[in-house]
Amino acid sequence: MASGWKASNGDTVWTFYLRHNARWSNGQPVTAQDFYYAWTRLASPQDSTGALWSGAMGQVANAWAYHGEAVPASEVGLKVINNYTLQMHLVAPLDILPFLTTSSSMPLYPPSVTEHPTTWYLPQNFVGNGPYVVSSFTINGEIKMTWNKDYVGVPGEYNVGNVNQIDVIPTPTVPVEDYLGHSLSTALVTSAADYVYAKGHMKN
Amino acid sequence: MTGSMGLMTLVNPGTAMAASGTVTIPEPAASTLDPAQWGPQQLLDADALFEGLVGYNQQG
Repeated sequence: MASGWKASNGDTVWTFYLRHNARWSNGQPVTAQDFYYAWTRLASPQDSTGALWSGAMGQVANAWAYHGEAVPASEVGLKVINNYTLQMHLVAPLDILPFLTTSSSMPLYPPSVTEHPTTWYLPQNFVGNGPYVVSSFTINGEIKMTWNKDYVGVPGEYNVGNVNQIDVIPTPTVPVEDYLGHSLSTALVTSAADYVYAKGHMKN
Repeated sequence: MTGSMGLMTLVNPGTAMAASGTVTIPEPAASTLDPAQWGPQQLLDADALFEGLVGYNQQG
């Protein structure tokens, strides 16, 4: 989403510039306010299970204090400069910050989440900004994701492929056998027995 | 086959994907798609359902 960024104040203040053409799956523009909403929600004292530790927000000044209800959200060092500019004030210099923004750094579409706080990710309510949208979701079961026709990626980058549907099946009991039988496109070999079986049954 | 950290992933480019545009992948069961949660974020959300601050932009 970021078209670029700038570090200042000895790598403690990071300003990120968002590309202007990104769209939610309902056609609305993706803005800095959407990132602010999602990240502040992640750090909220009401969310005790969020992965605040995993990404950039955990490095932002007062994020953990806000999480612990020691300061209000207005004192957190995450600032919206304008619709397409987001600024982070960090607790300490961190020159690898952009790499931390690959995880726990996703925006949310606020109207969908506030209107459907516990079901916003179900197909009938889902609004995303990625290349796929949820078309079916069974809790702890199968998930289908289909191509988001409103997705606008970065020109010339690997964001347009030939896969128009991703089916996720939960924890198959015999993934290697399923893979060899062509009912799975990928499988993770996690045991020596599976490795030996795969090696003995694969043609290449 | 591809491998790292003691695990190995089997990837068959010649399965149903080429014919139908559909891939079928195994993942642990998910009770939510909320990207605030570590599991769904890493397994399903990142760069599929949501694009983060730094994701597809390989020039950044």
